[in-house]
Amino acid sequence: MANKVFGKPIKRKEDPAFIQGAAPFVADIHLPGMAHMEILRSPHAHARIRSIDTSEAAKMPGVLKVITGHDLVGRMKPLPCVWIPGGVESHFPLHPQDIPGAGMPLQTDHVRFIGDGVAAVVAETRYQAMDALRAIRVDYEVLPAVTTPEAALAENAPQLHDSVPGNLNAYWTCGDSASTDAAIADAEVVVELDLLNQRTINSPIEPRGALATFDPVTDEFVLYASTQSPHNHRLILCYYVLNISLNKLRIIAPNVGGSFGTKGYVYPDMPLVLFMARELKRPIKWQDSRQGYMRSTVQGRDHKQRAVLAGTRDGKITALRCTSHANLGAYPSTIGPGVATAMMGRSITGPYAIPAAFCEVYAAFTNTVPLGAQRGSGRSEATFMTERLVDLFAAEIGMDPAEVRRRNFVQPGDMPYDNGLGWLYDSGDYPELLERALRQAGYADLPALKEEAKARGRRLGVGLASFVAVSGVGPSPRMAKEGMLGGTWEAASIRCEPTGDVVATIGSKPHGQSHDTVFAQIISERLGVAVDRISIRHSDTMGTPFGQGSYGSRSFSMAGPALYLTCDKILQKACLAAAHKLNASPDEMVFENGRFYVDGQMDRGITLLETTLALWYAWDIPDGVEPCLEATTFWDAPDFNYPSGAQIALVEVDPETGEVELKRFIAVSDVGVIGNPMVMEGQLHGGIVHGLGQALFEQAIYDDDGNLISDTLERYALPKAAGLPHFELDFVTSPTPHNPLGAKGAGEIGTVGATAAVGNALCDALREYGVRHIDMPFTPEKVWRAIHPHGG
Amino acid sequence: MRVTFTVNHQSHTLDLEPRVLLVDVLRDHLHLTGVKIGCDTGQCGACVVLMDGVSVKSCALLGVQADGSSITTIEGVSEKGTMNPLQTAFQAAHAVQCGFCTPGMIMSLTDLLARSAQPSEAEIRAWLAGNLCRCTGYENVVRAVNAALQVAGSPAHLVTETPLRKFYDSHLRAMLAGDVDALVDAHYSADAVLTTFEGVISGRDALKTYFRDYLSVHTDLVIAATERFVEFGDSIYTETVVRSARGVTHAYNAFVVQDGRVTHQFAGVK
Repeated sequence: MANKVFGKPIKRKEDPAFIQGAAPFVADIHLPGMAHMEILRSPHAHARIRSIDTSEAAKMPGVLKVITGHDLVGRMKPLPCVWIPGGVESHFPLHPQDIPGAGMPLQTDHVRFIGDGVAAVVAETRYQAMDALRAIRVDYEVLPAVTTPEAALAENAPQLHDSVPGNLNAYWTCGDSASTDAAIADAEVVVELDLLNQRTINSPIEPRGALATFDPVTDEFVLYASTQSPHNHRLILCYYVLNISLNKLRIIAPNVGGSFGTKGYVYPDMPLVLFMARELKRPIKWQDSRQGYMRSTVQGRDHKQRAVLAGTRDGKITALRCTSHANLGAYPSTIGPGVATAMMGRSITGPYAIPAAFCEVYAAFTNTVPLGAQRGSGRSEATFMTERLVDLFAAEIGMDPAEVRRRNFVQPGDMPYDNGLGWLYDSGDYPELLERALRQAGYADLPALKEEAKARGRRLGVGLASFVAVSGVGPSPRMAKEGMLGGTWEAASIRCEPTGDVVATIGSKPHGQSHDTVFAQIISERLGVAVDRISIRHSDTMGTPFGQGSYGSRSFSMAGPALYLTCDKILQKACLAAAHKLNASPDEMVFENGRFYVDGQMDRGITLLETTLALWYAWDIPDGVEPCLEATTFWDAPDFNYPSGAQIALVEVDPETGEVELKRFIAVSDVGVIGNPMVMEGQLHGGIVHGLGQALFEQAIYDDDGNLISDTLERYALPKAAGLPHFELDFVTSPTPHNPLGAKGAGEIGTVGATAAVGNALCDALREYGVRHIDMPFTPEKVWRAIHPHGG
Repeated sequence: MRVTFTVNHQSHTLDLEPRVLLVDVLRDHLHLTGVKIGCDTGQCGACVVLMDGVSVKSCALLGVQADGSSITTIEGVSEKGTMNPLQTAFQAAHAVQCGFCTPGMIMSLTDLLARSAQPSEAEIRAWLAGNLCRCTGYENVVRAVNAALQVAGSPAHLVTETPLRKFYDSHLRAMLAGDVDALVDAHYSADAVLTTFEGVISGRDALKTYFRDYLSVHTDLVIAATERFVEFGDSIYTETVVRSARGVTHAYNAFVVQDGRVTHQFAGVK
């Protein structure tokens, strides 16, 4: 096709507005008459509220309203949790609609983490609202706090929720415990590892914000919010929290400045600004600070894993078992419990054919910020654990780590492959991914480079990570079995306009993923319309069909197929009209380059635009065909898709200082069919650096009282531009059979392998010092202490 | 406190609470929301602007500290929606994903490229220590800067740096300084023609007489704001708010500039 653009690295349509500072985010919206809300948060991780005195605050300059949790009783319901993984045992705080609750937007008598809200102030300016917060007097009875799941599950631990005995949210399992234990008992070789996959803070550069308006004439709300799931959050807010009709709330999610999982949750500020807007009949804006973000927005990871891998002396893995304690934080976030269980547990076998596997998760409530998804969630924790074990196993039997992997890979011919834990892998060539990565790395030459590094007083290590990362949430019936409340399908509409433009509306919502461009490439390819004549509308619940939003690497492989199939419907209808115009049979029609023609008679044709006009005017269209060229598709995938990859990190360690320098990073990825390779590479770059951040720098640190010590970017280290190598990327393409694009999720796979690749490389570099494992982040101090266990 | 400063070539006089941050002044008072707030503590760099040509974090300064300064924000970088070579390279190299850090990155790199014509990759990466990006992994940002460096001239020029803008600023300064000789000799060709409602003035001597008369009437002259500045070919169209002892007027001027001198000027006043 002359204008073929699908699969091409075309520039993004959305960029000029961002690059010129003209693209509005929630914080940038100023509405006439707007007032500002601030939330008073608990300074204690665990306390009883004896009393709250707001009288002084109410008298402060500019203050319009001050409320506490008592003002919300009977006016709204607790936030819900909509992912209930179930399992053997499961307990949640209560919600009146007989589903799990996630706490009231403001607490009345009991605060459970340092971000828990106790009061809210609205004032004319943000500075006045912040002043008023300081004038609110809260009398707390401080209670003992518990910050780790193991401590929370211990006897006599402080109790967080009356309806959750012993702080246990869930005991969840997958796989076959008995056969796994038997295989381990019979094994020639057993390696064990205890590790902490530390808590991290997703840290998009835009903190969250929410701005609500209320129209007293129509009783309708508009909420502008930094959410990655506007449709889903609309349903949750209307049905579970505010008890209003779905059509009374319109959510507009303007540009969203990154999310990486954190903006897929319903937070207390959302119902609070809506409540205040209705009370005060004015637009109410709340905009978080960075510190506020870190203390109240969901955090990631946080699994304490005890893992066992068993195998034979000749390198065959026979069993894998994991017991994990997951730290859910103080409340179940909107979908947090599912992230902590299924996404991790079902993923532990990775790309390997392991005959016996079992995973159990104890998910516990603690006095920390609630847990949610973070880029690669679950799959990253599983991959780090398994890939570290594979390297320990290789060391134990004296075999090259690459060879051990080769001997255990699921083979391309085994697809579809049931991993025994709940995932049915769709397609992939795991051996080829690794071989390509090894070739790129010059694997055979690395021993010489290690010697060369040693001669310089440094230690070079090489680390491999092979992985599979379930993506594309998801098939609704399958997600229902996982405990998800709500359909996880996507919808798309396409309208061909009589001016030659094409408008597509989708439920999915971007926060950096390039929807405007890549989705236009799909339509351009199918309909032969130039990309700059295609407009992709999203992010506003008015005028777009329902969709779950963008998370779990699902937009391209869920909204993409919805658009693709809608193009089919457009072409089917257009074909009828075109054939009618040409006095031909629809069976004879060929569509090429945006034009229908009669097969074998190129000159007997009609363009799509002419067909669009014919259907628009509807003066002469076939019987039984409705006017206008417009179609909608509601797409539910038959199953997930399973992108995979192999990554290799080369690190150099300075034994004198413990500094870890990343020398090279190779990522060979299989994301199925690629819509825009430039965008794809960008997703990998960002994903890899997200994983490097966890490996090298990042950790949310709580003290024993539940104070978050790392609550600013001064104390929480994010990766910077300096010290990063160029990323060496390559792709293998195994289209998924689970959608017509053949596309797999790509937003997270950079992250999923990166921690393991760096961890394995570091331990390889430190092999001569007898270092078996170091928990992330690999800070110079930790590395130095591992090298010098008895001090300097 | 009463504070006067210039932002993107517009002069502003504001009454500010001393505690208000510069970033809030720019965003909330002047509605320049291309300046972003990511961290409040000076790490992320989303709020970077140029103050007297130097990149600063506007969340780490008070508004009152900007008194007397000239500030350029991202809104002062693109002219008429046209991106400069650095911005173009950001798009071409896919250096933007969510776009939130992008304005700060552009401002910060504009300062870098003003200091160093050919920074090395290590210098670029080190310079970006004050700009956090969570989406791109920085790889394509660095590529974009390297691509921009291949462009001749200043790849990160500001609106303030176009030749006509510089000429106009110089003209304005001479006018405000009341230095009629410098104004006319340095900015008007020998046979320049000024057309006003009062008549046509041609030649430098006549122009000097005209401007001396003008300034003797319009004492305490202040250009309160440049409301509009449009370049078209060799012509400039401006709308300025002029405050003087005679009151406040909106002045409309069109200049034709050839070889660095005004050849024709058309003046109108509302």
